Amino acid sequence: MPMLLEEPVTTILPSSPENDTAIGTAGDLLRGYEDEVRESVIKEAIYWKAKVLIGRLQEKIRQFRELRDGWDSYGAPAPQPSTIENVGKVLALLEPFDLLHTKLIPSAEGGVAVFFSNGTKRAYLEFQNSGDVVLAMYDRQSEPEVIELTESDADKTRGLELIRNYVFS
Amino acid sequence: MPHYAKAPIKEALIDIRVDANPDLTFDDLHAVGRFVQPSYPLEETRNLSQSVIQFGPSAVQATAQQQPWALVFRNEEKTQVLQARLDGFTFSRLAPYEDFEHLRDEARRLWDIYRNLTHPRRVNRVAVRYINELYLPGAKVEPEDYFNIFPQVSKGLRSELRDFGRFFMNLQLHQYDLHGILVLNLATAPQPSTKVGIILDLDLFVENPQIANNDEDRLWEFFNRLRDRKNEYFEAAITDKTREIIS
Repeated sequence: MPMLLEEPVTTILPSSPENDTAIGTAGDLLRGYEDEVRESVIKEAIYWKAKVLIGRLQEKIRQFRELRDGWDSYGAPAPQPSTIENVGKVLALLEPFDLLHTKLIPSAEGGVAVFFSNGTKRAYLEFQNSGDVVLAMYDRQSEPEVIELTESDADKTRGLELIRNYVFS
Repeated sequence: MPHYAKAPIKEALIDIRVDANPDLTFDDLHAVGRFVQPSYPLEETRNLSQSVIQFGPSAVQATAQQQPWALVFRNEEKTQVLQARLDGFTFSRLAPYEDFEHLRDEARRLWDIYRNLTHPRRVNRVAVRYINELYLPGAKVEPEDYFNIFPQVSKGLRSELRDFGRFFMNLQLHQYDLHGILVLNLATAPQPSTKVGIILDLDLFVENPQIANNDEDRLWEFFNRLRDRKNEYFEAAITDKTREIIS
């Protein structure tokens, strides 16, 4: 009997270029069809857009796990597994509309920043390998407001609330 | 259709596409915001990225441009979302879902605002869409225990060759009487859990509905028909075992 197996955290709709091996005209046809289906599925649905965006961020996290010391050619330390785990927990707290404005950026000092932007407003929640967590919010006109947080789940929620109130207000 | 206490609906939406009034500009859509602001205070602009390739005498230049595409208004609870575009309007209810009557009545209220401000020439497409997320107990399940529509793997294969994981099934089912198409998407839900997650997405749309311009009552009666048909597919797609989970 066919059995549906439990899926690991993964993406559904984004294509996987590494598996895109067909180079002939049939491959072109299938790629076109895949794009068409993807576009028609996502359309106006907020649910699917969020799935695609979270999938992209999860893919970034997967890439961060593969970074090695010196990944930027200037000796930057690779993000620690515990740092990446903290960022993963932040992703789980993001709401669909946060995702449109979220990027993940590895830090040259060792760590990962969850970066938000909306218009001229910017904010990032940086998880450093040292265990320090820094929230910074700024725009082009003003000095950044910097708040030190901890790795606790309560502070992650608090940090995101502060960011939402600042970036989306 | 029975009312399910644990309805698995993650998003329900009503979508209306129009032939826009040619004089309408994106900036005009901001007027919608002034009317919906009390109940939808959160506003943002959604942009579309466009790649532009210019062929010059000595070089080819590629640039990416951002074009405003939709104004998005959300309520404080972030459970209701209005997308106003030049080509139409979408109203979404996110979880927790209430019922179709709330969805339809709020969509109609917002549509009246949109229509009165933008004066579309005609409605060229209507849709009702429900996206469900179902979690089935266990790390391994037999799909036919829970669904009547799912990808079939030949029983001619040995049992161990028939297990499958991630999948995405897209079926376009013709609705001859409605002159529309019901798109049924069935896919694995990427959720970390000890359960098997399945997305059942039912998107029923009709292009060029045969409804006279401004016959609003008929338009909204038509949405009732679309919803009934959507329910018919939902009920047909699931088994009693699934009903137990969502009841």
